[in-house]
Amino acid sequence: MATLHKLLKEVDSIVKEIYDQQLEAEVHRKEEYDAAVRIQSWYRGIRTRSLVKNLNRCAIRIQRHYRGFMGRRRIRAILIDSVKRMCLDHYNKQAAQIQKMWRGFYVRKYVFDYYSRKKYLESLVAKNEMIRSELAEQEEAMRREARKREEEETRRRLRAWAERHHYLVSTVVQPSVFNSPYRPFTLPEETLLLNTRPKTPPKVASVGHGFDPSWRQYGQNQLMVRLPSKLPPLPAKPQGPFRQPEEVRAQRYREFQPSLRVATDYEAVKRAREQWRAEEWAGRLYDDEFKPTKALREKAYQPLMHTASEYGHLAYGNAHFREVQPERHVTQDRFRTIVPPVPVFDKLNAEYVEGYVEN
Amino acid sequence: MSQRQVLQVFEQYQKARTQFVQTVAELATRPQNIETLQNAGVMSLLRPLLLDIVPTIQQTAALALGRLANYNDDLAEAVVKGDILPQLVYSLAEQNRFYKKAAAFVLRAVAKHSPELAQAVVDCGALDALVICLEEFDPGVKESAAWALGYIARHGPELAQAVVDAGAVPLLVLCVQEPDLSLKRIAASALSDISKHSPELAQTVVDAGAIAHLAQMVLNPDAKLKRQVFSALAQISKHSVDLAEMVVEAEIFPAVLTCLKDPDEYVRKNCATLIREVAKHTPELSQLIVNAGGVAAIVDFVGDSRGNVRLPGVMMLGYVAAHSENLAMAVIVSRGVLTLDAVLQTESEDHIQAAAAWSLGQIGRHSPEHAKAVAQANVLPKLLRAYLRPDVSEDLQIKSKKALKHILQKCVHLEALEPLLQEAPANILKHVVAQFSKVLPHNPKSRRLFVTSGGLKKIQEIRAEPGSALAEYINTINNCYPEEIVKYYSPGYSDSLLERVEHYLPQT
Repeated sequence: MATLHKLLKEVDSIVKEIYDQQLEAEVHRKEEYDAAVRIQSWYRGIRTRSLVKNLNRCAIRIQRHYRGFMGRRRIRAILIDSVKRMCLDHYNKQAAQIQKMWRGFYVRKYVFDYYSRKKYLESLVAKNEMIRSELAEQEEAMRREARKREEEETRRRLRAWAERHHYLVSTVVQPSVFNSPYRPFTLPEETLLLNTRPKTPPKVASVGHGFDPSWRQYGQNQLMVRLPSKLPPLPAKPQGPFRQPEEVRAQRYREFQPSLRVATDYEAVKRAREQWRAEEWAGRLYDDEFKPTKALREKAYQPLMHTASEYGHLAYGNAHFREVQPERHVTQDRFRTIVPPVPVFDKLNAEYVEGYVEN
Repeated sequence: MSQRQVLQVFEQYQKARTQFVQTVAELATRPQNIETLQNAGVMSLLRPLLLDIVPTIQQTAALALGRLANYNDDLAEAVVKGDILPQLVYSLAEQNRFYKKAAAFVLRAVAKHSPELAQAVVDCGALDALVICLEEFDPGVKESAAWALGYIARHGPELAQAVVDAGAVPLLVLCVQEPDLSLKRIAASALSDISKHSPELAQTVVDAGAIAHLAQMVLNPDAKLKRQVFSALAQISKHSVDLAEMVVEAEIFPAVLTCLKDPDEYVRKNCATLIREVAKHTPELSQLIVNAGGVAAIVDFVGDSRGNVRLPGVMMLGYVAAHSENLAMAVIVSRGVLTLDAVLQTESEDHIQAAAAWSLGQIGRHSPEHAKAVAQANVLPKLLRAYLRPDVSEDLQIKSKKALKHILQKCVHLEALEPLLQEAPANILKHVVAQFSKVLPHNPKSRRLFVTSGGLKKIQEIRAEPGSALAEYINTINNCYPEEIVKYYSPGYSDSLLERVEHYLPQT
């Protein structure tokens, strides 16, 4: 109750306050209303804006995600496409490379090879130059040889002329045609004649007498005819002492006194034998040989097999000592003994002469 | 009369006969005496002396007869008509070597003049006797017999066949191997005469193994021998590819190229003939020769020689170039075009110029490069002049025209074509203009050059029938240029301009 009392006491003031307040509020109602509206509109605005913003953000988010998804899809497609294209490009390039190489090879091998032809033509030019120089050298050599032969020929002819015409050389007393006193110079023929030896006419080989050993005055006839009556004068230098000229002459023209052996004909014995045999045959009355016994007279002579053999009579002293008749040998190989090799012989071979000891 | 007096009469007669026959033989060496001798009836006097007992008189009578028959064919005919040949042939078999030599000389002298006389010699059965003589030991006899056989075989294929049928070829090949130089020469010349007529005869000679021995003698120092050897090898190889290949297999290249520089000009000529005959058959053989440096040697040979000697060289270059464009390029690179140009210019004989023109045509006809090389040597005006000269032979005309055509159809080198625009006749001009019409549409620089050098003007001056190929070409060229320029250069343009000036009314 106390409270009620207190409250009833204050009722008037409270009612007054309420009326005052209401009045104030009424005064300020519009303001406050406007202010409230403003605050509300601001707040609503904020809320709406934030809602819209949120919605926008959500829409944007959705759109973003969607667009990203679609874009990535498209990009993926493009990427696949471009990768495929890249692969195809690569394969095309590789194929083009193969075709390039194949076509180049094929054309160069079967149709036409430019570089090898170029190389060929260059090498041909080089070879031509080489051949030309070689041929020029050989031509030069041939010409030189021909010239040399010509020169040799002229020299030979000049020499032959000079040899045959040596009598045209000038002497101290008589100048020749080539050394005429009316000409200020001597002609070259003069030097040529002076430098060559004259050719003597060929000696006619005289048919000499055969050597007759019985000719005691051998050579005396020929020499005696040519002997001058007077000998040429001796030179001033003293020579001597001299023998008597008759002695010298006798010695010089002594008759040939050959020994009996020299004087005898080489075949004198053979001829003498044959002469004796002929004389004996001529004087012989009976041609039959004398055979002492009847057996020998009646039986035919049987020669020894040794001598009648077709392998020849191996008697000592056939045509010559150590005669061999290789055409009658069974084989041309040398006769070999089968002995074991002796090392001493090798040593001897090496020390003396190869083949000195034949194994 | 005593025996000695009787014998003295015979001795005097023999001396008289000997002196007569020796004097006649000596007189027959000089040509001015032979007419007199013929009129004096020497033939009928010599005939009985052939049958004389004394061998010397026989031989000298045969020698005199040979010299007389050698001189001209009337006397040779008289020998044939006088029935002397059978006697000679008979005694060829019997007598000693001096008589054989003299008898073979008579046969040779008779056979050399004409095919009929050679046939008469063959009909007497001389071939067998001569072949027997080839088997003798004495080289002089062999030489005379081989010479006679060569002269017989020279005239024709039947006679050569008769010689071969007598079995002469193996013996001739044996003679070629003998050491005696003159015998080798004559045997080689006989083989050459036999093998020149037909491939079968050449094959017979080759089968006897001649090529190896001939090839060995290629490097012999004697010039006359080399002439005959090369002639023989050339005659063998000219007939077919197989024969040419067999000759080449004997390894004559490159030794043969040295003989192209021999001092003797007939050796060089025959050597060039051999190379030509080998090169003309197939491209492989030509390639072989080119690779051995043969083209350079031949080009030098053509440059150094004069006259008929260089004809085989010129033809060889043409044959080589004709086979393929590779070989034609090889000829160009070896300076062949310059040499052929010199030949065309300096030679006065028509057939050599014709050969040079033909060879140039073969070189230039393969491709534009070849035609350019030929045209740059300034050859085309010379060919044209050779074609147009009034006094040339038909052969030269035809060959130069063909060569021009071949080269022009491939030539795109316009500077060389322009001189031809002025001088060429209609049929050549067609080709020249055709080449211009091919090049000008694609090349602006050449178009400009064409105008400045006056070519366009000349084109306008050409009168062509409408519808002909020439008119078409001229049209093509005119279409490359703007109309005003074409009109400017067309003839009569200045007149039409002046007419316009006349008719023009000045605007007041």
